[in-house]
Amino acid sequence: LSGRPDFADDQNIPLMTWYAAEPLVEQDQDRFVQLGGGSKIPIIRRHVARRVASIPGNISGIDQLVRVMRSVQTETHRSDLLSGLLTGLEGIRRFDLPPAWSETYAVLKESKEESVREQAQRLALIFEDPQAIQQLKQLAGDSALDKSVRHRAIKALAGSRIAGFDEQLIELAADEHVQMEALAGLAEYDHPATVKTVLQVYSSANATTRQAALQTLASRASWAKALMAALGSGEIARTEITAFTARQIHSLGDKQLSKDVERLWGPIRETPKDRARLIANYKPQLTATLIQSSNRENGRALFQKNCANCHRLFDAGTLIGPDLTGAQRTNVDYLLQNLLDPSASISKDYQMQIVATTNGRVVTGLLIEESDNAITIQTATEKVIVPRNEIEEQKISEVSMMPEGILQKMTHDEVRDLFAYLMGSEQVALP
Amino acid sequence: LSDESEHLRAWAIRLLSEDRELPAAIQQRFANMAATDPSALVSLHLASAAQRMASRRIAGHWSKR
Repeated sequence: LSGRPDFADDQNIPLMTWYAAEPLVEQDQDRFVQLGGGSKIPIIRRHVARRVASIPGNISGIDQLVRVMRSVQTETHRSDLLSGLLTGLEGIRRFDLPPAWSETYAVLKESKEESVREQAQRLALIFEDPQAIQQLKQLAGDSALDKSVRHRAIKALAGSRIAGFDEQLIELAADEHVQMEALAGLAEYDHPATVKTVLQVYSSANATTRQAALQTLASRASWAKALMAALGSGEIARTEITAFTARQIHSLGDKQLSKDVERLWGPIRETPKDRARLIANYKPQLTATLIQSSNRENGRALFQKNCANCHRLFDAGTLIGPDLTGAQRTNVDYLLQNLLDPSASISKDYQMQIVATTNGRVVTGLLIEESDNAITIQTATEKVIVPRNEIEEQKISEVSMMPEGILQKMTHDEVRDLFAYLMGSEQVALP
Repeated sequence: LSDESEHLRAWAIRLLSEDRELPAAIQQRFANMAATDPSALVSLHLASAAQRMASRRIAGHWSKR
């Protein structure tokens, strides 16, 4: 049945066939891989590859799959097997290089399908294929190449925390075409020159790159201390610190740092009494008449800067937090409550996790995926996969992923414009 | 199993595979049908029979221990 392409789109047959075939993996893995790897049904190919790869340390099974990958007919076939393998290996940083790999990789990297090349590359990094690593390092450093190619190479190498790549990242931080990726990548390593490098390039970097640099410095207590010193001396302006960075520093769990960041930035969490007073202060400025006369275009620009990173409204923004389009947006009290006191009621889906890794990094964000081997955390800026064996401590924060203090950084006019945009019934153009 | 009605073929598969070990000849017959029978209904019943056979084999495997 697994060889029948005519039922590949049937509602039930592919999965039922898979369930019938699955126990074979324990009785005769060779046959299982042959049958599944050569199956004419995509979902069976992916499941077979995933099942084989999710058996811990199954080098013989993976080697056999790698060999089958070379002989299969189509690129879709290869892509299915690769994606199954990668799913099964998710959260595993390193796996012994299977003997059949180098010959198969030579075929895969010439594939005309980008998905095949890209997945093969990710697998090569898990196998620590020296040839693939060398090639990627070359791409990362080649200033004649298109930026996007270099960005992908840097993200791939840093994301897999390839040993020794941090030296190259330090050099690349001076290259304006790849500066942001290099600075973000340094968060993966504990390189002694990171702080110095960030401070050197900070003033000449653009706004998004500067935020990435701050995120990196805020990811470890020792670096965050250097960051506080730079803020204290005015080397970095205080206004550069967003609510997210302030809270990231707070969640490092260092008492002195928390105190310093509160002094510089204001309270990370207001007392209930202060909040009630704040809400009372804002309310008279947000009457229907005042809101009607404000500038919605400017409100959209403010939304873009402060909210759109996590929220979607109408047709723009990112879905890390809830989509606001259907929320009770026309209710001023509801908006004020949620903006000034986001932690008063958090649904379980949006509880923030604080994860400390064994290599000294602290990642804060939403838990979006859990598997036997790894957890995936969505931070304000990226998805971070943390292998379970690298988790030193994991706790649920009592505060919402949404930071407090967003309105307090705005002028009264700006708050009004933002509310007018939030409460409106349709999208407006950006100014 | 060779009736021209797909409903009858599916029904026969179901009946044969319900609660006993299948003789090798019928297993072979099922395998041939899995490769060639044009009916989705028949294939669905074959997949279901295959699952039952697989779980019986696992059960046998465990009781042998």
